[in-house]
Amino acid sequence: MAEVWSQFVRFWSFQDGSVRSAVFGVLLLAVSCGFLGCFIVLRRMSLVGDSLGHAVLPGVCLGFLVTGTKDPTWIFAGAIAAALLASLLIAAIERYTRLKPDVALGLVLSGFFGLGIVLLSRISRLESGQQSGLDKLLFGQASAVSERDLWLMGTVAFVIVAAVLATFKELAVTSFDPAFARTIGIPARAIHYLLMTLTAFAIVISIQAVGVVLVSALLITPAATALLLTDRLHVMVLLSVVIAAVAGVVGLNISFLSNRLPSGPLVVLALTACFGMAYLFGSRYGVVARIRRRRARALQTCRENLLKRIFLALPSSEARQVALSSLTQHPATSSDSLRAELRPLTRLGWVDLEGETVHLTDVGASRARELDRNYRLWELFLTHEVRLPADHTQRDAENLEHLLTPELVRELEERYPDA
Amino acid sequence: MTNRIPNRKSEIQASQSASPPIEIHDLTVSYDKRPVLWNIDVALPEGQIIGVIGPNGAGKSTLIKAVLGLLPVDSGWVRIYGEPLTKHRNVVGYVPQRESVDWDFPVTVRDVVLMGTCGRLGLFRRPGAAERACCDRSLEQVEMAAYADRQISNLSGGQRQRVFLARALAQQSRIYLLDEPFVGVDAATESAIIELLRSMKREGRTLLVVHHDLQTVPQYFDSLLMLNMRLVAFGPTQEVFTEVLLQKTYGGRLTILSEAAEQVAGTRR
Ligand SMILES: Nc1ncnc2c1ncn2[C@@H]1O[C@H](COP(=O)(O)OP(=O)(O)OP(=O)(O)O)[C@@H](O)[C@H]1O
Ligand SMILES: [Mg+2]
Repeated sequence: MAEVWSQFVRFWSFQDGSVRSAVFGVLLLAVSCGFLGCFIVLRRMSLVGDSLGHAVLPGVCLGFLVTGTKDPTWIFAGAIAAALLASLLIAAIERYTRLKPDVALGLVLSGFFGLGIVLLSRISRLESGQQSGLDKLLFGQASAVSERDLWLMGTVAFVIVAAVLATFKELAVTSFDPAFARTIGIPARAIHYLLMTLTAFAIVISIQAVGVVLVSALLITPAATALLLTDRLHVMVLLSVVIAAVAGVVGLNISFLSNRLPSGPLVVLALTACFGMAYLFGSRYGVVARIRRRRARALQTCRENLLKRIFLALPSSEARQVALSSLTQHPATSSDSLRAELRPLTRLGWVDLEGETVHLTDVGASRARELDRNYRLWELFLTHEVRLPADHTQRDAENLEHLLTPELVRELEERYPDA
Repeated sequence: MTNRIPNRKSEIQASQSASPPIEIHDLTVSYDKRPVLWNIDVALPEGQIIGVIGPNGAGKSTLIKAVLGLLPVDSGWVRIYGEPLTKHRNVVGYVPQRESVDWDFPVTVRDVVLMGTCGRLGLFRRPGAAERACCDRSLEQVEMAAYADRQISNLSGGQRQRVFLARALAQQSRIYLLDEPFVGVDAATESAIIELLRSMKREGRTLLVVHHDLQTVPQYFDSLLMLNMRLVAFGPTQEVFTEVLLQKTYGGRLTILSEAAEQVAGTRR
């Protein structure tokens, strides 16, 4: 335990050079992939990210074979070449055969990855290959990020952010409605190729930390998580950067504590955990929020129905007081449970309970009158416009009166001025 | 040399007023090598609301897309005010079919309408105060100002159509191509839209509208383009909207043309 704690402190004090580079590197990746991932997800290009990720492997291996060392420049060049070749092949298959895009992606992904694995196993038999740690590129090892890698990652991240910011408007329009974008003179195809190229760059700088197998998660998961949390594009971009950064550092931390578990899967697991939390607890589209909204609505309906019962039980239109006993008949309830049901109404300031008398407050009376009116308006609407027979309308009206928005009520009032 | 330039400019202006807003010459368009539009020849008059009718699969949407340069053409050309489309990118506004976009996209109504101003902004420039004002005005014209900050997935079909119209208005084009703007909207929205189109026409704009409801054709359109893979007829509505031409457009499947298309596709594969 003490061991883990001291490692934890070592990680967060950033004294260790390799920890520093790894964290810094992951933050650069978070920015690059967060920016690009949103557009990849919105354009339904998620599979493209996955294919390019797998397709860079043979390029990386060839880059290594040229020099026999892990020279970032050559590896970068090889990876980029492989990614571009793969996207050309995908485009060619789509264009000159009747095969659909998903098939083209699958074909190229597996073919390139197969070649990559063959090359990788050859390299691992070589003397120089054994120490190279090239096999770490499959699942990623962030602690192996060197200072030279960092410079490369920083440059690429800068280019990506600059390019996305400069063409944000064009990216948004072409992602939303590509045909319209072309009619207003936006070079949609050029924008598409720009995005593909930037994605290839982002993937290539990511493989050291997360590995080729899982790299697409860095593009897709933060953006998908952000999309569950917001309805605005620029907020989505910012959120996905933050999510990628937090999950990236947490994943790294766990990888560091666990001593040489590959960092890629841990970062991806952290990202997936973020997604799971957004799925469950997101304020708008989260499962929990949905259930709570539904329960709140049901509770509100109960309370308002009780309020209406009190209102209708008043002896005259002037009166504000009614005996508790007169409310326990239909539906039949014990006076204790009725008291319990009344408690939330007291809290809302709708009624006061004094001994055996229920006293309707001003607020309560006006709310009850409003509900009663909504109920009648809606019933009128159902019988007149929807032409439901009277015995069908009751239930619907009962439920909807609690949900009518002020706008709807106004519209109904205009229709039935003498309701 | 120095006074060539103003000369050319006035030439263009002269040719603009002389040439029709849209001229289509010998246009043939194919999907997967199968022709769906054959040798269309037509010149559309300025300042009218022009209907396009024809059965499903007649190539109405294809015609609109070809005019906009969204599809490669096999033969023929399209000219906008006597010049190729590339010179007039933002002169032609487009209102696509509603299903053509993903309405879950994370943007608000205002964001979508602002996209209409992007054409004249050019690369790298952000919409400014002028564009925002134009966007607000367009939203008011389609009575959607109250929904400006709503996310688009919460809109009804008719409201979505109004958003697309507002985006088109924000383009401030001289020519508009609308693909089935009346499909799936209620009667109130339909009359609001036709009123809007009429007011655009009064401002001298030319509108080409794909339409399905034959009952309202005489009331809505000044001219009518009747299409079924080939041009069946084009002219003032009261002249071409006849039993005979309708029969030619809708009646009897054009088996010969369809079969010929298959043959053409076969030889090209
Ligand atoms: N993307 C496409 N790929 C292949 N064929 C297509 C494509 N789009 C349309 N077609 C074919 O072209 C023909 C004309 O289609 P188009 O969409 O232009 O018809 P339309 O007149 O707009 O029909 P609708 O009334 O149904 O909208 C149809 O036979 C259709 O099957
Ligand atoms: Mg169509």
